[in-house]
This record gives sequence, C-alpha cells and structure tokens, in this order.
Amino acid sequence: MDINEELDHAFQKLDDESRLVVAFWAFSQCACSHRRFVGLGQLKHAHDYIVTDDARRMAADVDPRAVEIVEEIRGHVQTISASPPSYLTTDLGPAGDATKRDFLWGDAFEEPVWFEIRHPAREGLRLAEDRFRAVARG
Amino acid sequence: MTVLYLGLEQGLMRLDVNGRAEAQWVLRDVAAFSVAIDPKDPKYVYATTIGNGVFRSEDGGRTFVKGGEGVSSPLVWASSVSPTERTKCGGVVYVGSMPSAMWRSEDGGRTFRELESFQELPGLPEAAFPPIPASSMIHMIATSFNRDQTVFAGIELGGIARSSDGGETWTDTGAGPDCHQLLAHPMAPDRLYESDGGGYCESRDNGESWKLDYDGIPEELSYFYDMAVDPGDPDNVITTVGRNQYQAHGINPYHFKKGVFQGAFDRSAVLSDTYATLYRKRGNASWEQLRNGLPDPEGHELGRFATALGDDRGTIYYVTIPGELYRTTDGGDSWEQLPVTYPGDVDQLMVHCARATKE
Repeated sequence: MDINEELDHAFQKLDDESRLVVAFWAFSQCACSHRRFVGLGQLKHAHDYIVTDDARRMAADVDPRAVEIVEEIRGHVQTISASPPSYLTTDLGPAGDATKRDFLWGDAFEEPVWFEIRHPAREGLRLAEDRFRAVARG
Repeated sequence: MTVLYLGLEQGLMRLDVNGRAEAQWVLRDVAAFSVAIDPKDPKYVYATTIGNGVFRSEDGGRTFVKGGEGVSSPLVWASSVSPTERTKCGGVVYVGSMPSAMWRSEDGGRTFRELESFQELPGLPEAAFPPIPASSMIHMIATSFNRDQTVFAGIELGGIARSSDGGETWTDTGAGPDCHQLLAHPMAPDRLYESDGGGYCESRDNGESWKLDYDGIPEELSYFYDMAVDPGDPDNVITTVGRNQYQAHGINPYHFKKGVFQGAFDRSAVLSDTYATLYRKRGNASWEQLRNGLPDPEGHELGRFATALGDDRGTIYYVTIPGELYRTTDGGDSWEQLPVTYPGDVDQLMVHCARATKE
C-alpha cells in the first residue's frame, strides 16, 4: 500500500465540515511538522480546499471570524503560490525530494509568511471544532 | 527480580518478571502515559495520566493514591524523579503537562508548584503537537545523574529546554524539535540521548551541543520513537524506528473528524501497512537493524522499552503495543519472548509506556 494514495483516498472521503477542520489543522502545524507532512501531501490537500468556495461557505457556517481567517490564509497561500520556495509546488505540494531525512532538519517553512498562516489557522481550528461540537451536541 | 510497569490506555499494570511475568492492575480506568521510579529509592513510584493527573505510590508500586495537588492541567504526559535533589520523601518529582508547563514537588508528589518561568521560553508559542496543533506538551523529562538541580524538558514539538537551578529558569538547548524520548545514564556524566521524530540526537556536554546521527539508517526510515540505553553500557543505544508517524503508530490523520482526533490510538482503524523495527548503535559503529527473536517489522506499531537501573549489562525489555514482552540479555543481539499472564478482564491492551526497576 502506498501511504500517499491511502491518505489521498481518505481525504477525498471527508465531508466538507471535516475538510475545513483538516485544512485549518494542516496549516496550523509548526515548521518541523510541515517539513514532515509536506511529503505526504497534507499541505496540498489543505491548499486545494481552502481556495474553494466550499471552504468559504463552510467557514460562514462556523463564525464570521472563521471567514476572515479563510480569506487571510488564502491571501498568504496566493503569495506563496505566486513565488513558491524551492521545496514547494504552486499548489503547496512537495517539490524536489521533501521526504529526504536532511530536509527534516533544514529551515523550510520558517519563512515569516508561515508564521502569519499558523496562528490564525490555529484560531480557525478552535472555532471550527467548537462549532461542530456544539452542532453535534444539538 | 525485575518489576516492570506498563502504562496503558486502560490503567497501570505492575509485572513481576522472573523468567515469566505476572501482571496485576495497580490503577484502573485511567490512561497512564508516564511512570517515574525514584532512582535512589524505588519504593516511590509515580504515574501520570491523560485526564486524571498524577498518582503516587510509596510501596513500590503495589498501591497508588491520587497526588498532584497544584497541577492545574489534568493532561500530564511526563515525569521524572531527581537522583540528586533529595527530600524526606525521596527525590524531587518533576511532571510536565499539556499545554506545555512544568511542575515540581518536594513532598513525594503530594503537592506541586508550577515552574512559571518555563512559559518565558523563546519559541514556546510556536510549539505544536501535530494532532492538536493549537497546543503542545512536555513529552519527556530527564534529570541529570551528575549535576544537582539539572533537569531537561522535551517538548513535542518544540525542542529540549534545560534548567540548572531546579526549574527556576530555563533555556532552549537547540536539540531536535520533536522529542519522543530523552534519557540520561548514571555511567555517562553529562550525556543525553534524544530519540526525535526526525532522527537521533546526542549530547555529551550537558545539552550545550547536540550531534545528529543516522549513519546506517535507511533513508525511508526517519521516524525515531522510543529508546533504551543498556543499563551496563552507556555506548549501547537501541531505538524504535518507523517510516513515518502514521505507519509507525497506525494513525491515519484523516480519521479525525470535526475536531476529534479519532483513531489516534484506535487499532481497529490503523492503516494496514504499519512498520516498526529496532536499530542499535554501539559506540562509534553505524546503526544496525535488530531482528533476531523480535516480531516482524511489517504489521507492527512501534513498541516501548524498559531498563532497570543497576540491571545486568545487556538486559533490555521491549513491549509491543498489545503487550507482548521481549527481553534481551546480550545487548540486543538476540531476544526472547517472555510469557506474560495478564488479568483476564481486558480484551486488548494498549501500551503507552514501560518502566522497570530491580527489587
């Protein structure tokens, strides 16, 4: 089994609520986790979802602040996509060999823009979790 | 006789190991994530839990009572007892929590006070535990055998912090960021061993500098988890290694939905291609894979090690997640599975940590 295929398959099966949570979650990671996760396509999944209208609609169901966060992350993602660092493709997939062990000890994902993404993403993750838990409780 | 403690999702077990092992529940219905045994007086034993705080024992782990007054987080991941800072009730006890905070007890784990300056560590706001990235936790604590008041806190993910004054002040040591295991050794002054999510790190100068070492480890294996150092040979280190965190622990990150990380420890939901193996490093030699007598790496998650202070050279225990017990007495060259009699009232064990002592 190819774990990347397995994870792609698992992501495709998620409902929209879960995709928003997963997208916030993926963008929330610290640099070290991003270096590890990029090779598994998690940032690409997050990118592909966060730029859709579905993401904005789902965020609107959560909270007005969640919409702001989605827009904020989209802006940063577009900046990165316009001029991606050597280790990323334009849709935040892994460029080169991001799974190499030395890559894990480098300084990828430590550019200032990533710090601008992580903190609002963590806030968005909390908002989305709280909202969906409340809904689940009725 | 060796006494083995297994911290489990379902509680804490004490095993008398003497050729075979007899297991008894000593705590039930708590998720025990760490066990700390006083290195100078093993009648003092501590267990920390995810959800129920700290428990303490003064009779060699036969009975436990609730301790941890003052620890404001119920999510207590890590613990250690100082061999050098001694009180009337054994060694000073350090515990670490999620969110990342450190606590200290000078009365045998009854009460703790927070070591507040830990929050001033640069970079702590950036630390993030991947399943719950809005937070981080102290995953491991090590106390120095040769420097009084020196304690190390391994943050997942956030590096290793050191205090040289009993936790009053802290500095970042620049170690690997994803601390999964952190050990000191009584025969190796100032030496620290870190098993990190990206590799193996070692310091020989009390954490002033660290050296990465993965010579001999195949490129596809980059996820190091638990680790043991031979109780009689500080140059013999054994780690568990996997391909990545998912195949190592049997976690699919997309099993979690709507904010709940479902499946993190759900063996029924694991990916079918888990892989976990053991590698050993002796002195300056390259890492070498250990297979003789161990379970097949394919289809297994990373297990946990236990060693007992003062045990015979070469004696190391390895426990798989569902509780199979293996022992080597030759430093890892060969392993034998020891029969274990578990209580009959649990279907499926889930081991979080293992610790051992001699009795």
